[in-house]
Amino acid sequence: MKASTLVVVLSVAAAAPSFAHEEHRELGAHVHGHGTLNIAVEKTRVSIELEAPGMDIVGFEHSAESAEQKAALAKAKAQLTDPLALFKIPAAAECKLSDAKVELESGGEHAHGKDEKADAHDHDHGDKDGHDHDGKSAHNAFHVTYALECAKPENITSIAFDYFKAFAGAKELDVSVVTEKAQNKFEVTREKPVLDLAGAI
Amino acid sequence: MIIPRLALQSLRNRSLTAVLTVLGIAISVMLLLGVEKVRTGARQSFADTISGTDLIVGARSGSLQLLLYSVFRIGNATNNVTWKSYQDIAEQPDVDWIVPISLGDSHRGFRVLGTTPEYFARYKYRRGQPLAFAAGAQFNDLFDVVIGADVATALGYKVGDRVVVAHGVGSVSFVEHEDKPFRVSGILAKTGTPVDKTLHVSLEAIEAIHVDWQNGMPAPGESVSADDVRKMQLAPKAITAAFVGLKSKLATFRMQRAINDYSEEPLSAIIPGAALQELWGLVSTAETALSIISAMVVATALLGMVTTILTSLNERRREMAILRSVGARPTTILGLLVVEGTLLTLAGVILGTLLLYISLYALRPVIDRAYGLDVNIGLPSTSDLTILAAIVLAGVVASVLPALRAYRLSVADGMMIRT
Repeated sequence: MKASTLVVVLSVAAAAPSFAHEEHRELGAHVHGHGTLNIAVEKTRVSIELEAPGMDIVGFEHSAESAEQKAALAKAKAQLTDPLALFKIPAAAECKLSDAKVELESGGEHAHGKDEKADAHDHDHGDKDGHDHDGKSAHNAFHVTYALECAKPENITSIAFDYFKAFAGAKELDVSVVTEKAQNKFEVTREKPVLDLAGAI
Repeated sequence: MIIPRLALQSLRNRSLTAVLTVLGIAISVMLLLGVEKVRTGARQSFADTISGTDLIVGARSGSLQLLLYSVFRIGNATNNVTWKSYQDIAEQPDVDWIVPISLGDSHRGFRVLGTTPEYFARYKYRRGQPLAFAAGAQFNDLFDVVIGADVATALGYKVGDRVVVAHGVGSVSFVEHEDKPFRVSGILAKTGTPVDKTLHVSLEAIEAIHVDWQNGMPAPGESVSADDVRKMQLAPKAITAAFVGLKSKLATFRMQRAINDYSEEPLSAIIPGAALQELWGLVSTAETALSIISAMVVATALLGMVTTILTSLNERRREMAILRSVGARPTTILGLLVVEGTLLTLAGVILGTLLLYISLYALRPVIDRAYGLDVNIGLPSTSDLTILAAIVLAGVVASVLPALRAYRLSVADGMMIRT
């Protein structure tokens, strides 16, 4: 019985087109103008995670070369370390930043574990940005994690996204909010940069 | 203060028409608010299908597809998850509990789900409500099955009945696992979720009924008896998906990312609540349609009120003329009719709201039992109150029309005796 199964498997394998190089390849999605913001709340601890393409934050995605680009990068990193200015939480929640970590992940060069993971490029802006598309250009993405301590997290009834004012390239954010009470998903856009969280936390 | 008194007395004089008009408005208000309640109730019940589960893990696919097959039993998985990956995830320090599910077999049109006994303790719905047994208990034996409430009612099963599971998911199946019948060990209480339409067996049972099968068909002459199966090693090789609970909510996104980046096998982890909302977004057109329909109902009722007042004007020609002849100014007539209209709408709105709450109290358990729809009674929300205020305002505006007509009619016209 086992042998016959094996024969079947082998014959199928022989008939199928064979790919010589069995390496693992994978491409994650990468959409300009579109970032994700994850918010998790447990008791007084609030953890926020922002992921945004470099295009949204600094306007380029290769490694900074000119002095101007380096300055833009430094400025963006400084802005990103202050989440309470980017995502305005009502003062009544009494939130304090306890940790901020800004990472710049270069999609094309960065290796995840033993498999190389690049990012698929899905331009939704018509490719007008004019950054170089030669072999060495990468798709940098910002990955920022914040840890907040909020004395009264139930007062987080809304978040104003000054993020869109700070970063001209950002168009929308997919916001997921996970609390002990519920799991929610919202879309916040440049046109409507406010998130109503009444009753969600 | 003479105008409201006149209006009241005039209404009392024509009490039958007045009562009918009020009833018309009341019923439409009740319908409008009722539709609103059902709409929010439906949304809430939908969001309450699964709760307390932090992540659902399945083969790499879109979040909606994974949600549809793992929770709603709609469609099929793109791939299975290997037992090895399942164990890898279960060993993660952030994971509090993990419940595997295995789909693919059916019984007379209802899906069969293979899982572990922990499923009954971990699957929560409606803001953390656990599953309850209406009769019997969870499966203990290899060939025990726990059935959902709808399965029990539709097929008339009782605890102890014999069930034969069919291979595949069609309602009429050509190959059945006849040699290995199951015994109903428990019946779950109604939940209003897809659990009601599911038969639950142990993961080992799913393996057991396929033990002597080859390529999707029973192997001829190689049948293994149910007793022999009990002695076999029945470790599952693959599952369809897994429900995961985490020790801390703060780990949710970290764990989701880790599973999505898991390089040994292409897997997807979704946050069920977020995916449910995405899914609801797709059907929100129906919600809009409901709102439009109820708005139309109210418009019709207001139109009816205007018609009633307008037709009554003809009968009240003389009444108006007498009022005018004793010194009432045209503006008084105008005010009288507007107050009348306002009183009618106000009475209608109040009566409608009362009727709605009475019927909600009476029907709530019935609706919940029949449709699994938990309509929240609660006080009228601010949006409800806004709608009610808008209706009263519309009533006032609508009554201006006949009032203006009465305003223009001359005294002489009313005094004339028509034959």
